[in-house]
Amino acid sequence: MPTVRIKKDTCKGCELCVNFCPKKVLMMSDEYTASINHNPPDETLDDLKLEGEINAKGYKYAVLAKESGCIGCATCARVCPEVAITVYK
Amino acid sequence: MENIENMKVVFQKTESLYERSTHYCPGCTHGIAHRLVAEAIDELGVAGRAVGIAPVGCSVLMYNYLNVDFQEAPHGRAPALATGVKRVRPDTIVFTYQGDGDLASIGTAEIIHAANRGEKITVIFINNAIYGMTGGQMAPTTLIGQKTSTTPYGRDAELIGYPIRMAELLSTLKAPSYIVRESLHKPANIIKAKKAIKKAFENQVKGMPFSFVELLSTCPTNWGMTPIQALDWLEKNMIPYFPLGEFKNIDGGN
Amino acid sequence: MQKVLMKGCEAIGEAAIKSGCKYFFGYPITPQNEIPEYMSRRLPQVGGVYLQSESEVAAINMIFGGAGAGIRVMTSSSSPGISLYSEGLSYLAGAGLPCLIINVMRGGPGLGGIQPSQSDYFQATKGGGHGDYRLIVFAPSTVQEAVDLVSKAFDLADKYRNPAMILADGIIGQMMEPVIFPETKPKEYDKSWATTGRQGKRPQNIVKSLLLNPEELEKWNWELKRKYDTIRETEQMAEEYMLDDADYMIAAYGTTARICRTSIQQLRDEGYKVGMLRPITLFPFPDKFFARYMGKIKFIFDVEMSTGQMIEDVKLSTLCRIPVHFHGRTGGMVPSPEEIAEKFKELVAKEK
Repeated sequence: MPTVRIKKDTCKGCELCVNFCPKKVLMMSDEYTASINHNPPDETLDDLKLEGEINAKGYKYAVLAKESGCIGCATCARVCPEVAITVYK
Repeated sequence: MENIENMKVVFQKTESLYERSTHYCPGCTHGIAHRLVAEAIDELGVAGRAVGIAPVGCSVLMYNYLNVDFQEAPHGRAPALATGVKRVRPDTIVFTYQGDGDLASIGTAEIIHAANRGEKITVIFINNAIYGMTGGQMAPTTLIGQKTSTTPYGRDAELIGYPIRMAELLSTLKAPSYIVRESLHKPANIIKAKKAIKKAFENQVKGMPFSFVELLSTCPTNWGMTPIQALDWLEKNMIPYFPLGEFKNIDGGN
Repeated sequence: MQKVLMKGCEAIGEAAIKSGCKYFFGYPITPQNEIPEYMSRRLPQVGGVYLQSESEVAAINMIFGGAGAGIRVMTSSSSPGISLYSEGLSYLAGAGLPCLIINVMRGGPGLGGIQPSQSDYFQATKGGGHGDYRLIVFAPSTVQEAVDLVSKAFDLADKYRNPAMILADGIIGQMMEPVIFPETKPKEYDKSWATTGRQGKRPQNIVKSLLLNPEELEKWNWELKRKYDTIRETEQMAEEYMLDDADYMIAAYGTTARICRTSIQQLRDEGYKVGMLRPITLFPFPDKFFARYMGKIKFIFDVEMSTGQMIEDVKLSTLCRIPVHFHGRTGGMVPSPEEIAEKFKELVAKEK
């Protein structure tokens, strides 16, 4: 199943990846924490420990919220100005 | 989460890009342009021969992001430095990367004449209709009515003329082999921009004269918008005035 | 080695080629057009490149590019064009790049005139552009000396990674004299810092002058200062002409020194014990040479084709302890040996 990894501390919270993902599997960290508080996520993201919504630089960052929906199109990676995303299939 | 250890990498950072955070603003399309240039260089296998000429502007520190030899030019002079490098070392793959102040304002003489001499170099022109590094002043490519820190009432054609279309201007010259304008505001455009940049480098590898890629870009900070709003603004306002496409292509019969 | 009769401008061009320089970037300006014209003929013959730039602004930046790529390059211009080089010279020095610049001085300021002058002394010796740096500046007084100084200038430029300038004037540029070109092979210098392409073998080379961190920029500036101090200590050149028994000294450089030589011969015939100290390097100014004559010379007579620029360095090198008098012609006017001799005699008479 395709997936992406986003470098949390490289992300500057520009939201381009979230905006262009055709399957809407990405979310900004504040939106994500809000969503998991009210609606349990599709999968258990045990590896993903959100230490707050802000990264080391002080930005909200993009997270892979719905891994099962990822199709590995790499649109997010192509649109990321920081080249913070790696795509796997 | 999926175990990525046994998965194939479909997209990753290319070799010539340093593993570094940039100083660019969130959503600044410089980051995308840098990636496309680095990918073109790596895919063509010319990173070992590449010499970049960094401009004065936000991308003055480009040498910190691409792992190739670089020279740093005075404002606007990059095409002259590139000429010097390419003439003394014709085997290098020389490129300049310039903003709209560097290329279309102080450097107009240098770009026109490097193009006119058919210098065998590749020029990447980042057009974001404003001066980024110095805090948002008017650029030669600023649109009519656009408010900047030095056109607080909006650019007035009566007072200071119209935005310059550099791709069109240079395409009137006989020597250049490839002149194109693309945009970085949407994934599909980014893919087209990558093709154009790769061709512009490939032309130089083949020994063809002067290739030029103008890239419509955003400056969210100085436009006073979010990165996503800036992409929309570009599409609605810049593309009508700065049409996309090829203006000259020796290969394409243009 | 064969003697050839050549015009100054052309001899300078040929000397550069003999020094291993195969690249010329420049723009036409009177009175040095013979240099680009000569190079445009000769360089293709030796597999080099003559490139006429769109302006001097472009030329000096092409020089930066070529020098940054580790190759011997040269340019030439005249006063107003050298002003356009100011930016480039500052960047070249800031980036630690070697190159040769020829200034065939003409009358100024502004568009001025096309006749010879020496009114660019300050511009040349104080750097020419912004920032704390210097050019290594040579002043030939004959065509042969110009030829010899071209290879010296290239060597010191490479040795110190600094731009070097030959300050000539329209007379040296236009006159024809017999010259011999030395046959010595140009020296090789380490260019591992140059932008030649990484070849996948080494880290990237960056040729730049930007150091945003003030601590780093200060460090670099003191490094430059140490370099210039070394140059001041070890590279001074001057000619001492008839000074062994002299009561009076004439200080002059370039064409003016040549004219003064004739005046000195006339004055010696009339019984005056006068000699000349002729700076050959203007930076480093040959103050060590001047220092030798403290206490031996009654006054120094500084003669320049300007309203008085080198005179300040003459005064500084003698700690203002010897009276320094001045005679100048400017705007393209050239002093005659007789007028210099007459002025000298007046000064001696006043002294008594």
